Amino acid sequence: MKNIFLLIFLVVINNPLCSQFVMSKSTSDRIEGKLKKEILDKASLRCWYEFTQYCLNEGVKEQVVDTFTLDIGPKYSVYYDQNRIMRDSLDRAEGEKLRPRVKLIRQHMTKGEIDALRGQGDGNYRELLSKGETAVLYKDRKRQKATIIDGSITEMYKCMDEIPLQSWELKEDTMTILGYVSQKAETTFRGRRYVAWFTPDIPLQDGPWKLYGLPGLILKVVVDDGLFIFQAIGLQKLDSFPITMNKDQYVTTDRKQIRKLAFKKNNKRHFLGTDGTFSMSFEADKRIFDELERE
Amino acid sequence: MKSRCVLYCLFLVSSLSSQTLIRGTITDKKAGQAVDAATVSLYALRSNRILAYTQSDEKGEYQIVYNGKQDSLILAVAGFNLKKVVKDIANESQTINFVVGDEVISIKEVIVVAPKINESGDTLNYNVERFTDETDRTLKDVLRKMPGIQVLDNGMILYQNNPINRFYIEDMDLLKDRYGIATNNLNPNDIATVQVLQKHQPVKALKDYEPSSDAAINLKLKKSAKGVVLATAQLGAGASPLLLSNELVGMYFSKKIQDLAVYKGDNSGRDVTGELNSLYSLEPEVRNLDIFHVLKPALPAVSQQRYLFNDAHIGTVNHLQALKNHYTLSTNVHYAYDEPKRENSTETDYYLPGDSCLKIRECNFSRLYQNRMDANVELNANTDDFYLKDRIKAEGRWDKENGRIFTGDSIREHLDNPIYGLSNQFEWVKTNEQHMFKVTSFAGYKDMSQTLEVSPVLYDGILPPATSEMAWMKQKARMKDFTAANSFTYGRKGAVVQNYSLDFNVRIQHLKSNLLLVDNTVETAGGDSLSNDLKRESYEWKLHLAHSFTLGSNTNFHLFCPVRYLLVRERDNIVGEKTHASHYLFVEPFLVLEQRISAYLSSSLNYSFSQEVSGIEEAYTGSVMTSYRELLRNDGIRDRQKQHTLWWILDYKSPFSSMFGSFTTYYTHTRSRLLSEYLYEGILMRKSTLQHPNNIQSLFSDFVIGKDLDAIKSSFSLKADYRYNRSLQILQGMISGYRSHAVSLGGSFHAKLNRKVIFDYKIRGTWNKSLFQESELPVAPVCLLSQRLSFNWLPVKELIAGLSCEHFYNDAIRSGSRNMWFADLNLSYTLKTVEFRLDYTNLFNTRRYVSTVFNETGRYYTEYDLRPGEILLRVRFKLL
Repeated sequence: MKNIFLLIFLVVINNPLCSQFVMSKSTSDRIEGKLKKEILDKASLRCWYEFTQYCLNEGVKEQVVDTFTLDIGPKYSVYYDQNRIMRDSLDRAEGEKLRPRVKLIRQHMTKGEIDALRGQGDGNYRELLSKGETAVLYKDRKRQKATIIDGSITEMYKCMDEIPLQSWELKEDTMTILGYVSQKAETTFRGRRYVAWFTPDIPLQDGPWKLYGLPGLILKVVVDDGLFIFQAIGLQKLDSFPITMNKDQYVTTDRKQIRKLAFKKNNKRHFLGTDGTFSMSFEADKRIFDELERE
Repeated sequence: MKSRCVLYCLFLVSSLSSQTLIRGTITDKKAGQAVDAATVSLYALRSNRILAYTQSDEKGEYQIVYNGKQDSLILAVAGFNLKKVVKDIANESQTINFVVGDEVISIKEVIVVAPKINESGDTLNYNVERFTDETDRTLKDVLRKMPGIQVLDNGMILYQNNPINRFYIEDMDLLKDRYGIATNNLNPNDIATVQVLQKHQPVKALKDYEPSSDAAINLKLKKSAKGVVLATAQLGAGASPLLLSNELVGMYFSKKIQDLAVYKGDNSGRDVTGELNSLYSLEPEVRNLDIFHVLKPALPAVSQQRYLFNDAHIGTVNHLQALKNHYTLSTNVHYAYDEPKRENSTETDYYLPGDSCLKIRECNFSRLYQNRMDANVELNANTDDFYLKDRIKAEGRWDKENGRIFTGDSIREHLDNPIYGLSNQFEWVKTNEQHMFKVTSFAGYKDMSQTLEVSPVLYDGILPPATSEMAWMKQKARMKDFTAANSFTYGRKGAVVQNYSLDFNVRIQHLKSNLLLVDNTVETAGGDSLSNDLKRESYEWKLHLAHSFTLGSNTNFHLFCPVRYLLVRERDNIVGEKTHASHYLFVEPFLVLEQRISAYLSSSLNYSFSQEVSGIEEAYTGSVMTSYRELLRNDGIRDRQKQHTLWWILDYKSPFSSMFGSFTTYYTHTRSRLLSEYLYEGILMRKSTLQHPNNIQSLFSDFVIGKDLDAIKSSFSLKADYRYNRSLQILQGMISGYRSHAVSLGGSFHAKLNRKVIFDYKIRGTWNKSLFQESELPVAPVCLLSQRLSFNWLPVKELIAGLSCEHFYNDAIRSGSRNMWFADLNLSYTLKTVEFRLDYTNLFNTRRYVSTVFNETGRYYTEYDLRPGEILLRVRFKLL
């Protein structure tokens, strides 16, 4: 734990913006994972999605792949970057098998500061080329609402988004994904065309990101002929795994504002430490991404 | 208008009538309560295609609309933890109620594991665990299976077909150029990740000034292997004759200290001395000058263990200590002793013009006593704006070799070959935002003596007549070489990165040689024509301009233009002439065009022009007996070569799909002024040169592809290359055009068929043809094929039974079998931390390797003695 505070200290002293930074109770609880939690639902199925998109990195088109996890309960589902799987202590035993624990320190840092951190860390250091999504998306299927939680170490934001059921047009084509026969369906949503493949054999009307409402779990989505692709890569049964939301001091915002927030641009992540605790810092990302939502 | 309305109404009614509305309620079987959020789907009959669907509301009510014309339909209710209920219905509006029971959702699980390879920035991370199976004992075994990485037989690691420039353990360079010590002794189970650092500039401060296209490897250890002493020992004994294979390995890796010490002793044909090979190609050094040799045939094209009659002991101690302020101090001491022996018989045909051939038949027995040691100490600091390196290296080599040849007579050869060397390498770099300063300096001295003794006296006409039967010939040579290279560089960042450097290089060499007759312990010199005393000094001033441009976002262009002034001063003390000085001015441009075509594909087009003058090895004019039947002499004419090289490299890498490929083409055009001629007097060979400007053209293309097929737990690699050479040869006074083509194809496949069977297959085929134009020598094309198949069976976790088979085919063999077969059997059993391993090598007891090799000067037929069938039991256990 000492290390963690040292890291924060480094972050704070190195960032001029943070001269006014006061560590509140909720901030320190947030860092240490001590925030109280509200249990929204119990999930019985976890689906992993590989989310592929393209970006321009100093003029070169690059493919970027992130892995997301969707935990589905009877009413709610939660969709998040799988590297965050370990954030909740409840989840630790489960995730230890899959990923090292991740403790997050989010700030813009210079190369020198990151190197200073490296000196403190326990050896392993790596950058992830994934986009590094920090947002967690809670979907309330019944009320047709999504809650997006996102933020930085200093401030957490909450955004409520009304997502009416997408009106899907069923097609005759089928495809087998992860051994499940899946049927094709099409819709348009917020300015883009979505071709989805769902399987009636898993009768959960959910899917990755803000997509849902088909008579079976959505296993693959191709957006605008391949500009973005969601592809299921894994399925796991869960034993009433709680879907929780931190009871934090959130700043309420809307979905268009949250995209503009500065921390979203500092998402080239630096990892530090291998086993046990990861520390993570952010560096300004020069890559230019397209937005999924155009409206 | 009215009629239109009526028609419209009729149409509306008819269309309404074709719409089917099905409604109903869904209740729970147990409590009779309404079921909320259940999925109601309408399927076509005998199909798994959904036509329409809806969801039940809070009251458990649903309503589904269908517009199709199917007669019969299937209505299904499913949901979260609900048992699916299916009903056949007619296509008509109706009310259908469902009572559903509970059922825990059942799915086929698909477990996600960490990816085998992932890329972050310029770093590729190979997850070692995912590439390791039960049969892998060392890191080398695992590296071989990683797509994009190759390990050559000498231990050199290639990434995308290019040698790596650094090998780090936990970001520290413990072993330097001897990284084979790590790849042969580290247990893959102690390593978490193998990282390939692409475009790795080892000097961090030079990253923006001197871009590198080479890759480096970094090992990330598991936490369990860090900060603890790991020690393993192996005891091995076998027959026949008595075989021993023992080893002791100790290592310690922490943040501040790294240690790796190894002792190995082996006489079972496993090449332990090869672990100490120096594997970097561009290290500055004083080159060895090996003038003499004991005649040996080319090595057989079977795995080394089959023909290596060794008796080797190696020891190496490596230590690295991190000091304050980013400094590290490392020391490496290596010692190797080996006594390899060979026994073979050869037939050599030297092509002579006019369809004639010179045939030599020899039976050969040789034993080398190899005794080598080297040590270095290095102080290093490597930060983003500062670099310092100083390495002091000392080496000693005390090789001796005995040979006996039967060519009708019995001839004895003895070669004594001690070498002592000392060198210092210094590098200093300082950078700031815009500027870079670099100073490098290398100074090295080597003293090389060689003595070749041959008895009986073979060349009566050359040496004074011997009086006793016991007289022998003694060829002595000693070369002292001092080499120094100094350079000062200034670099500047900007739109164009500019580097300017001024180099000053010196090489002073002194070669003395003498052919003597030893008769009754009295040494008699053979006259001036058999001695050399040559001093050669070369001074080089070089102005080096380097510019790097960035054209657009994906293209880089580098231009190097060194201007070199060379002064060579030579003095032959035997002839007694005055010092002869030659001056040369060379401009040697080098251009690189690098292009990143896409995220996966990159291309590099290179051109270089270089000029070279011949060195001291072509300057001596007195005859030197380089082997018992080679008496070499130069006629003192210096050659000057101009070489144009054009090469293109295309790299493909897709870590997501674990696919790596590379295509390389080299074209070289060399123009030299002299042609060398070998004159035969009986079996005695002399070299002489002829002034005849000539061109040598060569083309080399090579294609490598590697892919991991995770779905079937296997990986494969394919390799193909083509070589073409065109040159002029001079044979007994006649100039002849010479061409050769060679095509080679190969591949390897590794698969873990299931938990119990691991399968490996490797194949390589070569076809080559050479042709002398004028003389029209009848040289038939040669086909060679080698393949290896191995099966490992793991009936229980602790036991591995392996069988491997090797096959070699050579269609140039005229008599005897063109096919050679070998088989090996091994059993391994692990009891806690102790591993027992039993090897039975060469099951068929194949004792001889027979091969025929063609090259431009002749045909070489060799019969080579191989190791017989042998049994070896090894026990490996953890000490700590």
